[in-house]
Amino acid sequence: MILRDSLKKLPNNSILILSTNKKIYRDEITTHYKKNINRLAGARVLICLSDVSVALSIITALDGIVEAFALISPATSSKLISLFAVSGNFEAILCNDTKTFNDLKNVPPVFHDLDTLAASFTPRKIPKETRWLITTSGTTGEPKLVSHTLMSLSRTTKVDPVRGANVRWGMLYDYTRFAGLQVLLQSVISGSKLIVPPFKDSLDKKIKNFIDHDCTHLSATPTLWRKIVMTTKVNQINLLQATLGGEIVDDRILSAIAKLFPKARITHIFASTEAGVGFSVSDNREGFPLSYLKKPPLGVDIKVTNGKLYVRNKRVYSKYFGSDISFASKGGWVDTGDSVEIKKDRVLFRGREDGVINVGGDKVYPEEVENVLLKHPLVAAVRVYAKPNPITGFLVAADVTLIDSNTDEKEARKVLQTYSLEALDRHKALASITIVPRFDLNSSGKIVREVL
Amino acid sequence: MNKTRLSNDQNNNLRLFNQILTVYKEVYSSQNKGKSAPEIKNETVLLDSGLDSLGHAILITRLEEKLGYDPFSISTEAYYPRTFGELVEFYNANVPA
Repeated sequence: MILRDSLKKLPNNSILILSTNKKIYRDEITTHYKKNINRLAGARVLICLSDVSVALSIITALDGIVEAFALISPATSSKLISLFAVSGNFEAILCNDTKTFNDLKNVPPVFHDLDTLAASFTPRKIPKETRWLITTSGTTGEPKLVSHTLMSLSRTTKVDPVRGANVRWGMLYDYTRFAGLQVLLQSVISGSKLIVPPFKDSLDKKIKNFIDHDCTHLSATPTLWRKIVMTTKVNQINLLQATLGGEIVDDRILSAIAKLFPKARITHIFASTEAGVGFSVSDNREGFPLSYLKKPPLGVDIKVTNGKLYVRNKRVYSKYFGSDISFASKGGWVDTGDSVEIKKDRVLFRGREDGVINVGGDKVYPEEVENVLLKHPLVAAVRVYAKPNPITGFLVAADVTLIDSNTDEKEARKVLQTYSLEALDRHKALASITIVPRFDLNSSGKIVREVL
Repeated sequence: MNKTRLSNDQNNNLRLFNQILTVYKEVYSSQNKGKSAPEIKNETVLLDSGLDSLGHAILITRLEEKLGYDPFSISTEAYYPRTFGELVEFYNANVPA
C-alpha cells in the first residue's frame, strides 16, 4: 500500500485539511505527484516543513518512490538537522526557505521545493516499500531516527470512508512526531477533515478554532487533556472521540473527560516511537486488562517480567536508523522502560523503571538533579524521586540530609528550592523538599532508590 | 448583605482565598523571574492567570505544604477547577474532617 493509492480511493471533492481560513482538497494533496517525481526513485530525503498540508502533499508524492524520508519537526535546530542528515546518510534536505545551514559542515544539498529537488536527481531503483523515519523524543541522549513504513504506522488506522467523512480531527500534536503522524494518517486515510490551528496559538485559541470547525475527535497527552478540561469554552465541542497517549493515564482525567463529553468514546493508546502502537484501552479505567497479556488485542505481544513491561511488534524494525544497535532482545521483545504492577484484573503503570520522572511530558533524570544539589554547601546527601501531581502527572521531589543538623529546615528548603530553579530547567527544579536526618544505604553504599 | 456578618462558610472562603492568593503570588514570582503577579479575582480563569501547567502543578504542591491537604487526592470527584474562585471553593469543600 502507498499513501497516494489510499487517497485516490476517497471522493474527488474530499476536503482533507482545514487550516486558518483555508480548505485543502484531496486533489491539491495528490497533485504533487508528477512524472518527474520518478527521478527521486531510491533517494534518501530529509523533510523539515512547517505547513502540514505542504508536508502531506510531499509525503504523498514520495511514498513508494524514494528509499527513505525522514520527518523532522520544524522546531528542530539547523545543527541537529545536519546531524540527522549526516548520520542517516541523506542525499538532500527539503525544508522551508527560512532555515539556513551556513557554517555547518557536511550538509547535503538543501532544497525548498519538490520540482527543483527532483530535477537534481538521477533515478535509481524504486524500492519495495518506502521507509518513514520518525524521531524519538530523545529521552536518552540525542534524539534518534526510527524506521517505519506506511504499513507499520497505519496498522491500527480504521479505514471507513463513509464514517470517516463525518469525522473532524483536531490537531494538537506536532505532525512529525509519532502521535501527530498517527492523527494525520488516521484522518486523511479515512477521508476525515483535519483541523490544523497554527502551532504557536494558545490552547484557548486552538479550542476556539476546533469549536468553529465542529471538531469531533481529539488526541492529546494526559497533561494537555488536564489543561483542555480547564479551558472555559471546551464544553462547546461536541466530542465523539477523545484519545490519550504518551504519559500515564489516571482515573481522574478519564472521568473528567467522560463528564465533560458524555457522547465521547475515550481511548487510551499505549505506543512508543520504537514499538509503534502496542494496544489501546477504552473501558474508562486506568491501566489495562490483565487478559491483554494472554490475548493481545492488536496482535502486538505484551508481557510483564519483574514488574517491567515488554512489547513485541513484529512489523517494526528493531534498530535505530543508521545504527547496528538493536533496541529489542533476541526474542524481539522491546523493553518499554515502564514499571507496572498487577492488581487483580488490571495492569497499572507505576512510572519509569530507570527512575526517569515524566513532568507533563518532559523527562527528568533524578541523577542530574541530585548532582546539582550535591554541589550546594548545605547538602550532605540527596535522593530525588517522582511526586504524583494531578496536573502534570509527576513533579520532582527530593529528600535531603543537611550537613549541619542545626540549620533551620524551613529556611534550608527555601534556599534549595531557589537554588534548583536557578541551576536547572524549570521542569527539573524541586517542587517539594523533605529534610531527613539520614538515608538508608544499600550494600554497595548507595542510597536506596525506590521504584514507585 | 451585611458585610460584618459573613457566614462561617464565607469566612472560610475568604480566609482560604487570601491564603491561596499568597502562595499563588509566591509561585508566580518564582516561575516568572521575580515579576509580581497580576491582579487575581474570583472569576480569573486559571489558564489566563499567568501560570502554565507546570506552574499550576507547583501551586498545588505548595498549597499542600501550606494547608496540609491536597483536595485533588481527597476528592473522589473528577473535577478540575477553571477559575480562581472555583479553586478556592474546591479547597474549602474538601477540608479534611
